[in-house]
Amino acid sequence: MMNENINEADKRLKRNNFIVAGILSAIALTGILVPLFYYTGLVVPK
Amino acid sequence: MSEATAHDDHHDHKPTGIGRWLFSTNHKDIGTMYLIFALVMLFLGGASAMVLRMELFMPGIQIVDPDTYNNLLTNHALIMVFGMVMPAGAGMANWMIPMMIGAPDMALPRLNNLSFWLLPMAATMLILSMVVSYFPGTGTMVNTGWTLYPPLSVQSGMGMDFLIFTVHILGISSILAAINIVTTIVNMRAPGMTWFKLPLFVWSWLFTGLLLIMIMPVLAGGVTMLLFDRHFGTSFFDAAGGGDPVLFQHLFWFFGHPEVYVLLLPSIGVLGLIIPTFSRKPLFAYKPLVWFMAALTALGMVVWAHHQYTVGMSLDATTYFMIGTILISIPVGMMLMSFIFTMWRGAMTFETPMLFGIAIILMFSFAGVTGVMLAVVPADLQYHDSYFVVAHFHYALIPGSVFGLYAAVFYWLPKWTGNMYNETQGKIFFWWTTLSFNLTFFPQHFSGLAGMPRRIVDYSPQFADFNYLSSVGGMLFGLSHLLFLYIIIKTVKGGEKAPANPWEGSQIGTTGLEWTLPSPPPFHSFNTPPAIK
Repeated sequence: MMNENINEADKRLKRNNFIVAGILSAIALTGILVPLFYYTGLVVPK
Repeated sequence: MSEATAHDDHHDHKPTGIGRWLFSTNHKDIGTMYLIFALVMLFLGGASAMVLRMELFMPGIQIVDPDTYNNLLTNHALIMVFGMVMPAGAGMANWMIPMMIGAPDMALPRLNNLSFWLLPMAATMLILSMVVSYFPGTGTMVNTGWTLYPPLSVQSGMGMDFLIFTVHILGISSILAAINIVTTIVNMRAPGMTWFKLPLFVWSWLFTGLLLIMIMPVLAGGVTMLLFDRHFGTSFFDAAGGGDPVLFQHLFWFFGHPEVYVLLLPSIGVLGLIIPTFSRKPLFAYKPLVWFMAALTALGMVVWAHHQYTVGMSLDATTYFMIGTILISIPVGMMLMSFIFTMWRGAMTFETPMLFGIAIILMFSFAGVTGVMLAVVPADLQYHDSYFVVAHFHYALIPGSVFGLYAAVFYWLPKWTGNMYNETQGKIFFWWTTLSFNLTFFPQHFSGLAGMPRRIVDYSPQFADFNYLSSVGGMLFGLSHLLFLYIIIKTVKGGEKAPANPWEGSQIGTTGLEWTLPSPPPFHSFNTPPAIK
């Protein structure tokens, strides 16, 4: 019973870590992609 | 608590050999590696600064040619910012945050290993960016300064490509570390460790981590565009092709200004521990301090263009950036007042960390005053690109950030090593660094106001006296770090044994759990969640 609770808590923690890290990664990816795509409009061959 | 500690002691087995470090997922080992890396970089960045000061000892060109001077100048900044201060802060976060919040380790331990091991790769690339230009056909040295402004950075030789990849790798490392630290703080707090029980150092790293996640990718995007302009025929920053070099300045400073707070905030967090400890009083206005940090983070994100007043922005934009920048002095001033009120009528003692703490408050305030001067547009048009700016940001970054790291090293060395450092040697180091720092950078305010431009290998003889003083101070400042290294090595090797809590005031008004563990802490700590009072 005790082990089941610990396993359950461990799974919940891993899921929460994945969610928070995923949201933060999405913010980071937005940071790099927005300037790249937005300013692609300015690209003119030399 | 004691049961948990006994349990940890019993299972304190650790891997051995090189594998312990290469494949480490242990927050304390990874923290140690970060700190050692930062120490090596401190000496590398410091050595380059000493060459610069030797060159400026007197007018005329003495020991390095102008290109090498500009290259050393660029690398000094990049090494100190990305190689020294940020890894040192990350090392301290790795060591202390899990212990403070009662977590067994970081939330993502394998990612933690990757974050660290990217750093030596980046350092190798950075060194390559310096040496590659000595090979034939590789073009000029990197000579742009750390801002990497085009069009010069588009014209630089192959070293610039290495530097761009260095920034990419460092950026990935920082972003991964920041994601890990924020996730740890959000999810791994022991039961009962509520948000407003967190030590200020943990709060400071929450804001630092969020800042890093928001700003580093923008720099990565900017230098990627630079790489495309250099090699793939685009013209993001080339006016002849419809682009704009000022665009890069905006992208760089969107990262560059908040980066200042990335360097400062962890040290403010350290002050939030040290000042109450050695004043033996709870931190004055803890909750407002957290909100001031949040305000600093938010305001710091939206004032970047005060670095570019002279490029010809619209009056509305300049006015907005000027007012926003001046507003920043409010949360910063309130933070400093919180620390002063914490000391007020406290039972103060002046151990080395506290001496650094007080020096930070005094000298960082000085940087704040020159910062407000620089924020005002008409004044900045006079000071821009002069040594006044060099003096301002060294007063901001050395007391505001580096001295905070020194204070933290002396505060936590007993916890990390299990040995007390020699207090007399610590105090000698404090006075040596503080006096020589001021001798180096105080005269630069005057040479700047008298019109000496920055980033210059030679100067007019009228600035000779100020530069002579600066160079003597710079040599003394650099040499003081040999004593720092000696104190660290001596403390690691032995000395008076440190108790679990070597500072009697460290538990006053804080619920941080780091002092409940023995010194040094067991390899695995808090395998069972601790109880929070």
